[in-house]
Amino acid sequence: MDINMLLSTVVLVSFIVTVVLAVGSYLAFKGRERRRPDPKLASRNGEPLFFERIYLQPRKVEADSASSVRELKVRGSSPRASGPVLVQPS
Amino acid sequence: MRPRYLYLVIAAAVLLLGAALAVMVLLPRTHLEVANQPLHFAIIVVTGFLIITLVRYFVLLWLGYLHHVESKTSVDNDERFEPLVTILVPAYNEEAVIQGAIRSLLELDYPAYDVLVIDDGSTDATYARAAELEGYYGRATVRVVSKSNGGKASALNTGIALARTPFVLCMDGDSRLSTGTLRHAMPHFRDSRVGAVAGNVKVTNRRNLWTCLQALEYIEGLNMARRAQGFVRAVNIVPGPIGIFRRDTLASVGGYDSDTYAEDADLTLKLLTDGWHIVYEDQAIAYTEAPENLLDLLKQRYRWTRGILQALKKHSDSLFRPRTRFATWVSLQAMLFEAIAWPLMNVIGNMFFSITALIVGAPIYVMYWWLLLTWLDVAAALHTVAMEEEDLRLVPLAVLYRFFFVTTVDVAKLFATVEELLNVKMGWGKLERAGRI
Repeated sequence: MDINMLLSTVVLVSFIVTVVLAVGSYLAFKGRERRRPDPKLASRNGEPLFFERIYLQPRKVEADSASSVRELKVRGSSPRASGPVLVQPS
Repeated sequence: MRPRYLYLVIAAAVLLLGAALAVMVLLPRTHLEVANQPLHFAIIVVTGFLIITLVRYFVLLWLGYLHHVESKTSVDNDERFEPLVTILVPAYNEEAVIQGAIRSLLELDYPAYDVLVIDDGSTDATYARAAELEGYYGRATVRVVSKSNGGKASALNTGIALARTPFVLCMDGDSRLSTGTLRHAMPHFRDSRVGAVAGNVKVTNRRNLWTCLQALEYIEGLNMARRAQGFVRAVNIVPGPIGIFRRDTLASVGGYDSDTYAEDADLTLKLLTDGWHIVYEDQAIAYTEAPENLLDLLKQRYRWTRGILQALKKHSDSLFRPRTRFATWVSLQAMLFEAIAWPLMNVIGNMFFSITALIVGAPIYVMYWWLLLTWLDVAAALHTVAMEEEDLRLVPLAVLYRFFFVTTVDVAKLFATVEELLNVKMGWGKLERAGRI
């Protein structure tokens, strides 16, 4: 077998092995994902955990005590800050 | 550009021209040599594939070079444009990296900006670690808020609603920004048609072959395309790790949606189809951690592919019935090509030619073809790495890039495309970070 034929065969076999390994890796990835806990187990009201739709709303000035958001005061004083940071519930 | 890199860019251009000549001269000769009918047909198919590859490289590299020249000649340092910006840092279970991320943001070279960390209902100590750094630091103010878990899109929307500045920079909690990010990106907003600036994402954890290949991919693949799109001001994906937006513009299009797996691509398409120009700034750099093993890499690309297809499906009316700029329409077509046609061509084309050559017993043509593709990839890698004045040790990896890395990733993309078409369910799948940044 001359050197050209040898190199050609190496390239060809390498490529086919890469494709086979790529398919195998994909199947391994899918298998790993399947073994993970079902996201629905951690959902609320039947909605998937990561798909709570949040809409932009105009900022409110008053704090909402029922908010799930914790409010924090800024340490020190910022020339641009106009008081405590107010967060509205999503 | 430093002279050493300029010479390399010129050398790469010569190599590319050489590859073009080789394709045009050698392949037709092989046609004449081959008497076998199936192999003859396979060579015609592969020649078509090579010509498309060559045209793609030439168009992207030429537009990218024009973008580079334009950005170097249009810099006007005398006129400062430094509006207030809020940097939004969404964080979910990032306790390993969040303090480092905030500290790096305090070192930006910019006169006045806010940093707003949005803890997205983390179950670890992310909030506490971030809150330790809350306060006023001269040029920058750090605020930290926490909300119930809702995903990155909802965290960013919360941040956009809370921002008190006309511009916002959206990033990932596990990314780092270069100090000159805002100084280089903000002047683009002098043009009132520009709604967003896409930054340059680089892989920082170049620790093994996978991450080094991804570092090359970000430079040769993603940034090359983004630079070319930047020249026509129609970047089709403002990357999640770094995007700067007009706050009012984001509000006018409704911010981020949570109904796709690629909220950054979806938002970009919303802005483009709304008529905004989106530019690219290569000096606004975000350093990000790439997946360090194969399965995590496939998981990331699977999600990207399905997310991009979902975003394209959402905006399919603009894809087939252009209502905005021609450049925007071309950019959307390019997105569709890169998402579906390009991986399909890479895998199916390679398989078809290899199997044909194997069956008819003529593997020598596979080697010619491999040499040409590798030649192209090395030339493109040299060009793009030199353009970014990046680590030249990445260039030799281009030999492995096409046949090994691209094939592996494209197989996952093809499966993801099929699953998206079949509407197979999928989870979000947050990547585990090593916290190396």
